[in-house]
Amino acid sequence: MSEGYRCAADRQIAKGLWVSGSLETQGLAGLAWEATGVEDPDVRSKIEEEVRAKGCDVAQAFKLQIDLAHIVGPPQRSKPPTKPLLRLSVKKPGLSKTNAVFRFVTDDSRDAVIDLVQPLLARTRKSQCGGDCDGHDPYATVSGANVQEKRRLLLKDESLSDLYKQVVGSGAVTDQEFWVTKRRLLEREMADRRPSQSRGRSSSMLADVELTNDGKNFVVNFKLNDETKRHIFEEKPKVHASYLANVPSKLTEKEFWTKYCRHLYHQKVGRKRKRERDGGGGGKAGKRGVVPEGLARMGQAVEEAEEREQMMHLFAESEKELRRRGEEDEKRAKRVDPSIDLAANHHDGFSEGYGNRHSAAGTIRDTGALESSDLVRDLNRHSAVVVARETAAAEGSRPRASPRVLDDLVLGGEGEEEALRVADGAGGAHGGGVSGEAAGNGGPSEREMARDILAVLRAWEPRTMVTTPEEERIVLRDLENRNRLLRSRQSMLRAGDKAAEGEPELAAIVAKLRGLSRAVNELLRHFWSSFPLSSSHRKEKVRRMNKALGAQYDRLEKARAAMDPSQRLLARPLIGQLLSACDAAFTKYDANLDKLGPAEAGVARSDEWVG
Amino acid sequence: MKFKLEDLTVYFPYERMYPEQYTYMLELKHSLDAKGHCLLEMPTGTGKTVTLLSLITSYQLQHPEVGKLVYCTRTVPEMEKVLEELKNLVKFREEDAGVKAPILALGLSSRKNMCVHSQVREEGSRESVDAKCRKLTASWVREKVTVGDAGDGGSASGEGGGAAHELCEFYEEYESKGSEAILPPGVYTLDDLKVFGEQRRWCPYFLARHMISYANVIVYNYQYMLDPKVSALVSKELERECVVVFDEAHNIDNVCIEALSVNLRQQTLENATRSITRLKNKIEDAKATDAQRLSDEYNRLVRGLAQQGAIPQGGEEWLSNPALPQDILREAVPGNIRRAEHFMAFLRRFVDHLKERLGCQAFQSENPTSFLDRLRNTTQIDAKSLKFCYDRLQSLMKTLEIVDTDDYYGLSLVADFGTLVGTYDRGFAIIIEPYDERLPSVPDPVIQLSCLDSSLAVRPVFEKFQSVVITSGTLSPIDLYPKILNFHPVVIRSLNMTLARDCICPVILTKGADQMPVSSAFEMRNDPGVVRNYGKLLVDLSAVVPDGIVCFFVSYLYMDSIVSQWSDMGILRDIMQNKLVFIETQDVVETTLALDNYRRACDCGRGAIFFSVARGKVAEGIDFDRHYGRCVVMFGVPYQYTLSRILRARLEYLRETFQISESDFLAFDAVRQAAQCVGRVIRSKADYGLMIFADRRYARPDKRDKLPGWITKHIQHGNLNLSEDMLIQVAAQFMRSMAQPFDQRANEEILLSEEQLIGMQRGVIGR
Repeated sequence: MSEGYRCAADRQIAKGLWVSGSLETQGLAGLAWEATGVEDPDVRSKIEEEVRAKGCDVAQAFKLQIDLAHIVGPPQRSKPPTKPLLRLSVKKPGLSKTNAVFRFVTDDSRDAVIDLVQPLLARTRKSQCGGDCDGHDPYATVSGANVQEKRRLLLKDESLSDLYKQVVGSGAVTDQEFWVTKRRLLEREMADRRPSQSRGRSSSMLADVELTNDGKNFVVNFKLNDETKRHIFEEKPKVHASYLANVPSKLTEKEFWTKYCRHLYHQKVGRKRKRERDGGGGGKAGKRGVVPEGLARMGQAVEEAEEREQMMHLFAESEKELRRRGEEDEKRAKRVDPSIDLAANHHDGFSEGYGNRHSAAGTIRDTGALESSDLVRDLNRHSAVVVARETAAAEGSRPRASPRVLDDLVLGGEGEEEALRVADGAGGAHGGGVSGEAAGNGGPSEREMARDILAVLRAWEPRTMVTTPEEERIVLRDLENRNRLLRSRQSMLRAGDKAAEGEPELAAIVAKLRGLSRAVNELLRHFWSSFPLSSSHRKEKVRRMNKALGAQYDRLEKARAAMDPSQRLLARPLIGQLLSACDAAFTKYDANLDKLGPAEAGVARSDEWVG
Repeated sequence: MKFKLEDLTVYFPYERMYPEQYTYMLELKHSLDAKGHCLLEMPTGTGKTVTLLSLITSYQLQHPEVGKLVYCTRTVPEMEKVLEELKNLVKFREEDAGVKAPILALGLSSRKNMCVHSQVREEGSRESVDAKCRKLTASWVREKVTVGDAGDGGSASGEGGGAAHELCEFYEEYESKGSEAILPPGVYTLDDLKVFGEQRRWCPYFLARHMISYANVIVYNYQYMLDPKVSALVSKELERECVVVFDEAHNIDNVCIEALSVNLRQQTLENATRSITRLKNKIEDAKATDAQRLSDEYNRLVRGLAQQGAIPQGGEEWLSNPALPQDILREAVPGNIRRAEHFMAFLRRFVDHLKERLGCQAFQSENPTSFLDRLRNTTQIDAKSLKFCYDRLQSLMKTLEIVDTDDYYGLSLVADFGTLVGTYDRGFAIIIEPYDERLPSVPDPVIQLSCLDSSLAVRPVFEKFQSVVITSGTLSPIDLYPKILNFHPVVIRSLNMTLARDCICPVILTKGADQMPVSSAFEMRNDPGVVRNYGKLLVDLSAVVPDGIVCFFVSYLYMDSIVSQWSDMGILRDIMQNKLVFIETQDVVETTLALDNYRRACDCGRGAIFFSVARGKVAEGIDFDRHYGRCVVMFGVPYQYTLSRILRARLEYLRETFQISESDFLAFDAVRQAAQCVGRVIRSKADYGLMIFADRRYARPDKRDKLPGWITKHIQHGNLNLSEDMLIQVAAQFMRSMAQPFDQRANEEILLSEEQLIGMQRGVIGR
């Protein structure tokens, strides 16, 4: 079999201790790693000594065999700036989980190993999962988008997990079909997770240029990725405009960003030079100002000046653009909190010409003389962009508790702490959780909500009634009947719960019945949603559901038969309704036998017969 | 609560009270009883504003003979805060009495902040808004439109009209209501006034100006009281019995000086020359069309300025009295400037002389007497004619019916300069500088008429009103203020702060982590070691202090240089690993937005650092309370630039006139600024903040002793001389202890309840 692939790979024996070797894939047998270059006894003994010092097993330090069946989870690889690493979590029966970490020479060799191992791993797991998934990953069949969220939801919600195992594990419903009906649940799960997962923008100036000097030449490091580019565009609309106007018609992407990088570099160096000139006196400045000797150098200087001019044109805002931005800023400043509105204050001060100019206490009037004015503007703009993203993400969340000034002079003014949010309990008949009403966390009760709705409706006084009083009476009567039924069922269920308390055997039966009931409900939902039988897929699904329902019917009957009379009394409200619901489904199925076609119908009939 | 303070019933809108508030009220009441001025220092965060408002409005209620409360604030944000507090108080009074309190309180600001006219308010600068408003509201403009309309048989065009002479519909509507246009009782912030104005279609600015005479409480900027040009308009009618409060008055001397100082630059003089030419043309036109007008003006001037007649309403307030003593107003205008053409020639000579003086290459400093002497020798302009310069110009502009006054700003400045220099022979200096000494490479010639004596501007206020209250959180050393303002308070008191927990932690950093001293002293300022140590301090602080940190630098230049060096050293990058950075600039709009974003960054939990400048706009008026400022760092001692000629002239004057030594004044001035900066983070007792004085010079007793008592009291002995690493330990410990839930019961022990206050009062009476 051509599944064997061999490449050089160091293995991490202990923290900081790597042993060079080679790794070989052996198909379904797994992976084998062997140390190389340890033939020399001196080398070997030295390594052994180190291994012992680290408290590791010497025997395993030179040879390692990994069985595919023992690998847990997917193979993990390191992210690009780090060296190409591969980590496998290995769990041998009866032993605790360990990690095997390998370091490859190239990314390609590492990826080749992973590419070979991964499908084999999947195949092994599938075969292991086979009939019953006990002891293995019960959610291995979870697929499609948002796998992680689905798995998390299943792990979190025990009843859903139970249902999944019953309906998907048995093959009655496919994974895809299952999640179609649980879409809302999944969306809620994702919505809950999203805020904590959304990544904020880094505070640091992403587009900063790093100047390093190794003594011989200046090296300019400039890190640029898509996020950085987006950030630059947001901070500097002029750069964005230039980019749109020039790339790719006049400049390539690379040329554009190189120019931008050079522009930043010139800005930074210019600032530094200016400071040195101002601080160091005229001597140094004179040296720099000397006209280069020779025409070639003169030409170079002219070229540089031209380039700088072009870059200014590309990246620096013109007077007009600055004015427009100033006007926009002024409008924005009008919307700020009056307690920080310095602009209003400025308009209330002394006019230009009054007060002391060149004042020792006052400000420098001519900001053009300040060396860092560009830098300051960039910093403010950068921080503004970061905050804008942050604020947008935080919108809708509760504001911070903000005590007023002198709040300690107000009696009972201590309730400013943020209210603790108590998540709703699992609810339903399982109990345990605290209901919203009982938790008393300030939310209106159902009764209050209903009263509010009624009040709104009364206040509304519609001119033309949508329904007639007669219709309303019929609907109300029907609702009442249903409510009565529901209430009697719930009261019986509660009685069951109460009786189950303190009797583990009874509790187990109730739990089992609940599980069965959920599965039947799920299957029924799929069954009824397949009508009308407009496609072969629907027909096939109806047959599948019918078969699965038949199997569940059997189980229910068996469960009922196994109960003693007192238990049966308690279980009746659940089982009775389930059986009648199944009966209704079977009747529907029989009525549509002709539409399902003769061949399949026969199979269905035999199934039914078996059921 | 409602309680008796001696014989006065005081309404206080909270259920409990700090002991220092009680003492403050008592002192204030004594000064009002004695009908004298007072000087009170009470720490920030102890509810000074509400205490003042409660006592004075209660006093007004019981003593109707007391006039208005005129509350002067330094900034518009402070004005808004005062009015909000007052709203709270009035609500409490109404609830207690069960009837609507007959209080009218309003804020007043410039047209730029109050205008509701859609086109006028969009003008860029305050001056252009004023000029545009005058164009629509001046009496002669309105007359012309009325006459024109009568002729055409049409009506005056409204807001959006495109006629040659359009009017402001808000002003017209307000005017048409006449005496009916009044504000109902209530408390009106600037926004409230604008909303009210828009609803009624009345001009809020003129309505507010008009309602000043009816109001019980007026809140406005210092300059409306201190600047003679403005106060003559808005504060002239106020009666002697008014109580005037200057809140946050630690810098009042500087405001007084600014009010009477004028600077003339090259552009100003160029503008003045152009204005003279334009005026001359207008005079020629007027002669040709309406010579009678000029002749009437001449006759008026013969009778004297004060007899010009009552100034009609309608935006000609710039015609009112300038910075002139009353006796001058009654004099006749000297003959050589009565005729318009002669006055123009006079002005041209004066401007030419100023231009010539401005062209000098070296610094010059002289007193008004020698300046006038030289002026007389070269141009034959005497001091007496110069005194009338400002008023003569305003009279002429009125006669010529000029509305676009912002085009004549240069000439107005020159005329004001002339009037001031001709009026005062002491307390002023004329300094001519070809460039700012801090930026020798940037030519910026200026003739500076610098007021050296802050008491000159404030003297009329002390003389006119019977009770003036000067108060702030930082007035230490308190005995210096009566000297520099030249007044005699009946009460002078500095109060302390009672705290249930040590919520402020002032510390002095003298050394960096490398044990090298840190300071912003001139010789060390650019030392890379100091810059790096300051940077490291901030990097480490940004890691241990939650939410907001505020840093104050000694000047814009220093901040500029530090920011630039930190950028090169990678310190800014390290800081931004932990927090965002926002920086104050000299552009108010940019700084406002930076502040807004800074607050958002603190709100959303990202945390941020704000770089600001002592004596800057942020240091004066913005609070960094709660999570907006958990730590404040004062990098260096914010001395004024001691080589400045203006400062040197002032120091000399202070030494000669008030016997205040240069070093004392400089240290006092620097430390009050530093105290003001660090006090920004504490706005209530529930708040907490770390205050770092990062300069070795603060460890010296001469600086430390000048800090307000409420700060020095909380400096622990071990925190007087910290190195950077030790400071970070202190900071981490302080933040941890402050983050524990606050036990309100501990606070309650120091608070006074209504029963306790009544008990105290009974005790006093019993004795």
